[in-house]
Amino acid sequence: MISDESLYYRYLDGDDDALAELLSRYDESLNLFLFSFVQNAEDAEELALDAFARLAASDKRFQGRSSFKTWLFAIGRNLALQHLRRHRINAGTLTDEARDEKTPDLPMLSEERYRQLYLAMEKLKAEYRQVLYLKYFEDMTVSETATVLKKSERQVSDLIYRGKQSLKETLEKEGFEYEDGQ
Amino acid sequence: MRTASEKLAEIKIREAEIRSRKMRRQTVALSFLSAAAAVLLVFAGLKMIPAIVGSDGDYDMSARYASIFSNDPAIGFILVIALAFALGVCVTLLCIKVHRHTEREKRK
Repeated sequence: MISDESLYYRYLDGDDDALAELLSRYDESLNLFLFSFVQNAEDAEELALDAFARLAASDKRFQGRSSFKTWLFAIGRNLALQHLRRHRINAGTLTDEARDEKTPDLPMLSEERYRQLYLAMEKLKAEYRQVLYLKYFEDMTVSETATVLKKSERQVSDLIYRGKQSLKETLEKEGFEYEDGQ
Repeated sequence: MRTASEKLAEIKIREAEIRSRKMRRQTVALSFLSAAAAVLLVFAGLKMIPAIVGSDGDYDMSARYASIFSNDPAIGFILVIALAFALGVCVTLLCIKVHRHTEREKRK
């Protein structure tokens, strides 16, 4: 399989199919990640498109200090925070107007197990939600998660621990069985 | 929700917008710098006129280049050289930008 980085370089050299491939790889996951910030499926989709456009228009070629995916998600996070600031929304306390209760209808959540987990994560604090999403849905390492969220690895580890505790309580309240270590 | 091809088209549109915004910003900055350097050069040039057109046979212009800044002739030379260099750099960068922009437009 062609690496993300090679696809990105190919796109910069004028191959539009490479961008289509990158879009098919990351559109859904980036949408879900951004939804954890803005809690609105339409806004999340717009922001994901903006993130891809920023990346495509970037003159600074990818420098390889982190993975392409980490870079893309970090751009997405910056755009989501800008969006929240512009609309004067506090990421932790979204107003009812800004919150769209509908979770994005994406194939990634078609499996019931993932859907339930994602819905349970929706009830957590924003920073727990974001860190758990990157760790468990995107399989990012602590270091990659720290890069995307611009936090130290120590902070991310703490957030993962507290997020898991919080998620456990939420799942138990809803009658799910939770196995430690998963 | 948009289809994949609609998303791709939308990304291309937004990419073009970002590029044109960036291009406009850089062009404005470079034009401003070029204009500033040109104005300063004109100033320095105007200070030379009396020496050039003067009929008293005094052609020692070295002390006149930057006498608005200092009486030292060396500073005058340095200033004019720096300004000419800055102007040259700005104009070259501007030309490169315009050339790249034209190439991109042609490719489209």
